[in-house]
Amino acid sequence: MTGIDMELIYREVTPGRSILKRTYLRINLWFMGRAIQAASRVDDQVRREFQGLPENFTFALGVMPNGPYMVVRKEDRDRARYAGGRIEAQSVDLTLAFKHLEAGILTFTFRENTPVATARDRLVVDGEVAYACSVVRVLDIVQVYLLPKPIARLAVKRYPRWPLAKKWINRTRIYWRAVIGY
Amino acid sequence: MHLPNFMEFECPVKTHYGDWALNHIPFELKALGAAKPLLIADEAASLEKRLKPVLEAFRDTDMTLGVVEDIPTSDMQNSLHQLSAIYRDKDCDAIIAVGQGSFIDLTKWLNLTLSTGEESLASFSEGRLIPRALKPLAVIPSAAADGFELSGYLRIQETTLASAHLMPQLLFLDPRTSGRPDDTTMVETALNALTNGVETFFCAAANPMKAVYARTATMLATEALCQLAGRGARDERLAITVAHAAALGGCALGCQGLSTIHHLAHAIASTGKATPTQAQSVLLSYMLERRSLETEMNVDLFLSLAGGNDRFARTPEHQRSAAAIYFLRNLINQLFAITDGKIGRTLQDIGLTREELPAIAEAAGRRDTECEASSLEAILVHAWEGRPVDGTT
Repeated sequence: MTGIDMELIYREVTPGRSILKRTYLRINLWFMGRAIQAASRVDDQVRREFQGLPENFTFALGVMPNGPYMVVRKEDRDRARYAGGRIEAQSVDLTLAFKHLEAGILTFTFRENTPVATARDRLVVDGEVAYACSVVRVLDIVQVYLLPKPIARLAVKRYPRWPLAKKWINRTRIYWRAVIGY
Repeated sequence: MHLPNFMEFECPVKTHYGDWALNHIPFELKALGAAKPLLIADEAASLEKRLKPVLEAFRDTDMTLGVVEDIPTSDMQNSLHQLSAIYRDKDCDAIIAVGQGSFIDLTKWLNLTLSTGEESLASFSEGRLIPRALKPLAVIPSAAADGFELSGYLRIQETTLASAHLMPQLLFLDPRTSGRPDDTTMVETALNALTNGVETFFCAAANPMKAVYARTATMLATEALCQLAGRGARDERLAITVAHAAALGGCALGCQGLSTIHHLAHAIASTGKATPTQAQSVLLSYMLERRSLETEMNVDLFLSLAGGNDRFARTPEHQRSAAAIYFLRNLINQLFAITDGKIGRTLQDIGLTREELPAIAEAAGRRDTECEASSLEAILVHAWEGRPVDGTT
């Protein structure tokens, strides 16, 4: 901070970083990316969504201006691969970015779901809107698998009615694959 | 819907309202090409520590801000000089103003000076154009506003400039910065908003676009005033509602311009016996009554805006106009009690004498295009006595 000896006192402020919140988001996005990768090998609905995307389609979800991000790429006909957290290291066809860290925290602590965040103009979409809708549907399916029902209800617009067996078996498979990274 | 044969509308203000609204500031400034804003605050904002949430909104953005607090408005010229020098020396490229009232006038003056290089307002009064592209300006008012912050009016001493280009590009209303003013201050702010909204909605030059702002300002202001008057439970977001009403009222005023009631209030305030807010709150019902009688303007809608659709629906059609005026006067009477007489019911309550009224009417008549001095004096007489306008005088 610098001060200038005038009648009005001027000072410069560079507000710091929220380490805890960034770490929480980084971990969430990392696991979410791996869970999307796993879900594309387990769930039919997710595979259908990826079938509708162009070849080698790459999307990123994260927080402006400096991240963290999660990058996922389509490979083969209907699979996804988690491509890391560095958006600047690769070309991305679609970016969904929260305008600020607090908006990301609101969504990933389930106080606002993605449609509400979009309605409140907290999210910026850079790319085809139709593909963004596909990505949001994939995120919703993955969140239903990852989260217990009371929390998932807060995270998604409409909680799906799935057979219990499907939910529990796929959930186990997705968690296992996300942990081992396959 | 009635559309006029011709209409114009411009409101360049982008509004961010609600929880975490402040956190959108960095993104919006970057969209305007700003990288180093100058954050300025008046004395009240510094005292109430309203800068802290604004600074926190810039965490994780890697932006550096210049900050100047405690800016007095007693010597505007001196403050302007210093702020201009700081802005230029420190290579700032946007202004964020936390405050209200005359401080925002200072901020607009600063923006105009920095954008044009011209400090003297006289040149603009004499015809120099105010450019459309001024420096990015974001305003963060509180619930202690005077209603002119978001308007295109710049008032410095005896000089008033009016232009849509003077309206701030960005407005941020967040519960963290709406402050916790006392009830009387919030009543005054809400009354300013109500006046601006009603005058815009019921003026001859109204159009559907202006009506959107005016209607919302009127409804929010009335909702807040009813809570402050003790009608119904008080909402925990009352302060931000009042700030929002004032901001919308200012936008409506910026789109519409000053009306008869503003000229009268200004003339009354010149006597030194009352503030413009006190005068406006007394005059509002009498102006509406006069308009409904002399111009056959339909003021029934005020009952719908202020009293709600249920009240409007259950009131017989021919009683709505009178019911609307009664609603307003009853509310003012309750506010008179709540504020210990600070908000007057009549011009007599706020300290004017009968003998002063002709001079006030003449002074207002020189600025007003809607009414002649004789009509203005008649309105003032009714407002002084507290007697409804009945078309006989």
